[in-house]
Amino acid sequence: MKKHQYSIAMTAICILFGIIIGVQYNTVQKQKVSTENQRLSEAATAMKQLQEERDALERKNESLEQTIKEYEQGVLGTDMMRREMEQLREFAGLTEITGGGIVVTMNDSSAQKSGNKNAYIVHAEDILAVLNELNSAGAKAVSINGQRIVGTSAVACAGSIVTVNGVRVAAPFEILAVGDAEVLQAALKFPGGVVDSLSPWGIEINIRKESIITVPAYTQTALWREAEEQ
Amino acid sequence: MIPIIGLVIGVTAGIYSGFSIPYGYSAYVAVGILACMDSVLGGVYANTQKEFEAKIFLSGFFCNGVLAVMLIWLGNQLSIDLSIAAIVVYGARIFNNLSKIRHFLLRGRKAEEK
Repeated sequence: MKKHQYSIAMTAICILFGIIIGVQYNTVQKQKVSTENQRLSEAATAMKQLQEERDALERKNESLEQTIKEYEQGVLGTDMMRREMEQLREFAGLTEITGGGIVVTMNDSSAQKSGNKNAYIVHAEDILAVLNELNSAGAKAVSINGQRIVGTSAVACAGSIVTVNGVRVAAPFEILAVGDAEVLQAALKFPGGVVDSLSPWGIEINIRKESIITVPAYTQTALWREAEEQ
Repeated sequence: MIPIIGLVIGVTAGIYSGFSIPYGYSAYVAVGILACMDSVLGGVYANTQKEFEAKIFLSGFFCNGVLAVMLIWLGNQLSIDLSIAAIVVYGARIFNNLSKIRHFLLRGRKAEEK
């Protein structure tokens, strides 16, 4: 009986045990496969990514080639653009301008007169008046003590001194203007003009015609860069 | 001899059934298998000593398996890798049982009792 009992129980358990082992074996095999599958899918993802990258690069390459072709075809256009750019740079005051023109020198009054001392020194308003006349007379380029006057330029009063383009300048003021010297001179000297209105105060204002003067370029590009970044 | 045939049948059935354990549970089953192997060998050894009892064997088989799995589960909850302990303990017991059975097979029960 005991022998019998042993055989039955052991056999039953062995069958059960065997089934568990078999199932576990299946699981392990499956996991191996799934690990391989995982690697495979990872590789597939990487490949897909690389293919997309390659496609993107090909597209970029294509568009760049297209651009090159357009450039090659449009040499005339680029020439025109370059000329336009040069003109614009000149217009914006980013280049030196050399040519005939006048040099206006303004200095504080040397006469020792009683009364309001403020009346005998050169003010920002006086410089602005001269500047305005020069521009209206068709000056191509104007600079004040080496500061080129551009679209954003300001001539401002800052206490006892004057600032141009934010740079402190002091008397004597030397204003360079490229343009038709005769016209420019006439614009300042006409009766009742700027020179006339300043002379009663003893402000020394000299106008000198020059055949060749060089007006410097605008150098403060920092403001422009800031504007671009915004 | 019959149990060995049973084992072969079981393994075959298990493999060909196509069943598999969900991912993450196979570690438990592995330890369970170890525990069951220990129980089976323990049963074989008990039989050599004529001390085999079906109740003890059957309860031992299931309890050991379940206990081992539960211990591993608890270890996982507490971040203790108890499967190593189970493997060491059951491995040692399996080798112990195997060596006893081998002694019995080579020398007979009397020599073992000596």
